[in-house]
Amino acid sequence: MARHRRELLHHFRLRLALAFGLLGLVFLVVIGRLFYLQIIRGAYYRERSRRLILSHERIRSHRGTLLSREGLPLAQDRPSFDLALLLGRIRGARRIVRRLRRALAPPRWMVRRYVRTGPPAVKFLANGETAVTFRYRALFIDPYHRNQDVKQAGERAFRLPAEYRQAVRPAVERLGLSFRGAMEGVGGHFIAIARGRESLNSPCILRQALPLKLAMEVEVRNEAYPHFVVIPSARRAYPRGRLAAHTIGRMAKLLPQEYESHKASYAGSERKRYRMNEIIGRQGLEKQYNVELRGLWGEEILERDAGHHRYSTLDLVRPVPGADVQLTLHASLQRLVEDAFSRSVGACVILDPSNGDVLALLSRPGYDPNHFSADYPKLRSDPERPLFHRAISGAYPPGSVFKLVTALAALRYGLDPETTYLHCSGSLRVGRRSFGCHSAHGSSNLRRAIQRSCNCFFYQAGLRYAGGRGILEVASWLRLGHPTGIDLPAEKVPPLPELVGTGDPVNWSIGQGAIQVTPLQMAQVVGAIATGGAIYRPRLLKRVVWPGRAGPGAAPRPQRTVQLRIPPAHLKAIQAGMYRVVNAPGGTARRAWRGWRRSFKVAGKTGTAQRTTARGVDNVGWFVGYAPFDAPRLVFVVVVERLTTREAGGGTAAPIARRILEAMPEDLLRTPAAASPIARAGTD
Amino acid sequence: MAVKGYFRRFDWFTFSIAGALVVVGLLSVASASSSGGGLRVLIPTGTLKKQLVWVFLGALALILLTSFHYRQVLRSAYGLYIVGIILLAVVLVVGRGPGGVRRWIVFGPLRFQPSELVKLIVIITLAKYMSENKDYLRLRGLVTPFLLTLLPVLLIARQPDLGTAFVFLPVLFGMLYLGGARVKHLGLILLMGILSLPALWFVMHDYQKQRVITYFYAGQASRHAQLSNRYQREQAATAIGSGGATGRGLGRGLHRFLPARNTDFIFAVIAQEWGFLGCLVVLGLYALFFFSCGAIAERTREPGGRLLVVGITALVGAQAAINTAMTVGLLPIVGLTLPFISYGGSSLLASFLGLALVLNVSMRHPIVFASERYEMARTMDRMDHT
Repeated sequence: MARHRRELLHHFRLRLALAFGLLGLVFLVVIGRLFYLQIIRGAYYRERSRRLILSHERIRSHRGTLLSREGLPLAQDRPSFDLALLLGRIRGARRIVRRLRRALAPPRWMVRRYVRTGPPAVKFLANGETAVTFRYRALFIDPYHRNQDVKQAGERAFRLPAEYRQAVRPAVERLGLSFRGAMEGVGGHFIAIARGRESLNSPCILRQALPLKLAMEVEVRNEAYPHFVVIPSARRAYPRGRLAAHTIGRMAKLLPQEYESHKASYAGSERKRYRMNEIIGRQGLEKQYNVELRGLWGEEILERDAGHHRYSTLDLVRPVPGADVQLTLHASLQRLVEDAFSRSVGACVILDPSNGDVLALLSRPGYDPNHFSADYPKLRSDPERPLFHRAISGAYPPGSVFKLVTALAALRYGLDPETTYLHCSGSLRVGRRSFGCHSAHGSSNLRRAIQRSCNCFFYQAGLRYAGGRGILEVASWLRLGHPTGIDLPAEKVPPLPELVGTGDPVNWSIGQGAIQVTPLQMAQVVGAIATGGAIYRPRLLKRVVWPGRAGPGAAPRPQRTVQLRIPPAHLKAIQAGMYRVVNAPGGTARRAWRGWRRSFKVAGKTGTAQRTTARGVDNVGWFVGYAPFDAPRLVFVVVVERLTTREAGGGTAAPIARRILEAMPEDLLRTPAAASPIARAGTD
Repeated sequence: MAVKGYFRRFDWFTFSIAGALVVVGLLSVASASSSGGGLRVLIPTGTLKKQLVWVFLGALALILLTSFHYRQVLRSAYGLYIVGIILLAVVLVVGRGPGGVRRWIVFGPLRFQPSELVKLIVIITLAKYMSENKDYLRLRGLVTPFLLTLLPVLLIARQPDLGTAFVFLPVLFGMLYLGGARVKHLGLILLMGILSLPALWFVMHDYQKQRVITYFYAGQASRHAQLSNRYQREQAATAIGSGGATGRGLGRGLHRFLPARNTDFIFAVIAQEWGFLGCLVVLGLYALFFFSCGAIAERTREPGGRLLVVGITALVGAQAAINTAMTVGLLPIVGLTLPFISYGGSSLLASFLGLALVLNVSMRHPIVFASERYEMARTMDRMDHT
């Protein structure tokens, strides 16, 4: 009973005391740990928090290589060094950013009455200060502000501390950079920080691709280069220079508005998302296959010391390298084409008609993507438009090359391939107008008319048999007026002319008037004739080679756009005509092709079109065709522009095509073609 | 109750201690979310304004909950319990949260975390059950309190929110222990629990293990989040250590890189800005709060009220202990707030409601119609049994 009484008295109180004892023990351990961290190790942590900068950085992934058909690199990432200045250690850097942010925000009175017409303009004054100008337009037209730009100029936003300028100046000059340019770079970086596009801890890059010698100098003699750091980076290099520059494309920084729209629309993996200031593919294949080439960003949370040196890594997510993209483009054939063109302005397409593989694609004049940014001002203002991809987007009058289309249209509407003879007396009167031919060819059937490129024959074929409607109909079947769908981002094709009344069949039938085509479209037309009516979507992608995956990736299946049903007799006549253009006496390309020694035969068609541009009247010379004649493996289109009005396609474009085909690697011709039996029509 | 009587009976002492903790919390939230130091901290940021709104709401709830007798709360305990379970089930379906966890119910701008309220509801339910059924003094009788606790624990662990789920265990054990359950029984259960974990693990098939893992980790902890734990620890240690003995001063901490600095890791901000001495003060305030609660429990003879106070004290104590131990790097990182101090509406509201219950018990001295003291009743019970 006594035991129970004791328990009775102390039961709750005892248990409460024991429970509090346990809680107190935990608190004591916590206090002990606090004592250790704050009192014993306090100095260490204080120093560490003062000395080390924590930063959350992204790690660029290795961008994949663009490979030619043979496996040669056409565009690749090369390790390089960037020279950068550190801004975080500038005295009062945060204050500068705060002031700048205030200066960049428009004043309130302005917001109420004006609308912004552009980002504020930033100008660097000679004394190292910065002036910010706001561009605003009056919202309401009132008598005082007649809808003019209002500029609030001369806002002196910030000035870098003199000691920083003095410390940096000798080093900048020793590196051969302009001090003013460097300070402008720093100012621009500060403005990017104020706009929230960069962080204060991110180094301001002054020069990319620093020569190795200078990089080592800065690294080794670190004390002579205060605030400078060398950052390992990668540079996109184009080892073959100008080769296929338009097709390969180029890289550029993501624009702020692109970033915003991408951010708003994107719903995929965070690591695939575009980042601020990222360098992305801007044109050509670099843009088309940007997603595959790019890989995934890595991320790292790390500590750096005052000299931007890595101190410790707290968290790391490795980047995933991008895939290599192998192209159908044959680098040595492309080289051949570029050499054959020498200084001519124009374009060339060579493709495999049995699957759409583009083997060579040239646009002249070109540029060297390795020096793009330096050359850009000159390239942009050049009247020859060297940045324009003529092979896929250049709209040219086709001239006599279009007679192939007229021929197919006339055959469809009753012209007999063998027995219809039409007379040429040197010109043709239609109503009150006279249309000329380059000589009086007498009476010809279709193959002879193609061989001699007789205008009168095709005037009559177009007028009597096809009509304007028929020509446009067949042209549309041959995909003229439609994009080819090549895997390049900037294809732009001219529309076919509108049919008004009966149209203008006379001019259209010889490829003049409102008819315009791109070289790539013309290659499709020739491909259809060579293979018996099949048109494949042109493609530059051979396969995507993912890193870490065994074996080459699967090649995409060829995509057939259309399969026309052309009667074999019609095809045979046109093919025979094209054969004779090159090989028979009196053919329009006969002179250029004389003395041909290679084992295979070529079929072709010349063309010359007059065009009127802003710079006056010039001639466009064409030579299109396919080879080998009996088993077509490739289709070629050569366009030369800026000819005088006396020059013709047979004398300009045909010799270029011959130079290309003469040196053509044998292996491109030998592989068995998936050609239809019709394509092997006899040589008559 | 007349207003005058209300004020006279109000437990101003306990209330002031909790109020002091709330003020500490407001200052820390202000400085953790502000950009300047010194007095600039007092310029209200969005975070601080929100927290002030919640303090106001919490105070209103406190007045409301102390204005009627706590027995009425106990009376509706089972109804509350069902509502709580339904809320937890609903949050598993429609809940939102960072990284795929389902933790909050979102109504427009309002975000509400049911698990914070369920903590209190479970305490109320246990107090009600244990004040009316004395069979927990036997081993078999412990089954019901355990089941009552485990159901919400499993639902919360599914969200997944292991920290909150875990905190129910010290509450349950604390209430059973102070309610008079036999140490032998509690020890046995604890031992069995500890032993069965690895044993269970060994007899389970691989796919079952996988299921258990995915049960608790469903959607949680992307690789990045797991990796970030080390980062967070380092950051917290640097922040705490750099505070030294007297701290950097209000708003002068460098905690820009400290994740969850307003919520789970607010103690690191306090440690950095107020130093070791400041930490002692804060922990001292907590200790005072516990003692004050202990005194209330001790002088309350009515078992329901006493168990209510005991449960809430255990909850606040466990959360404070786990949170501070986690912040200083003694425990793995789990998502638990520091009561009265951390930013966050649901957490603060729950703290206020808990405080209101304690004050409510403290204000009322119900007449117990048993002639014996509460311990006596229980002892008699036990004697009958033996």
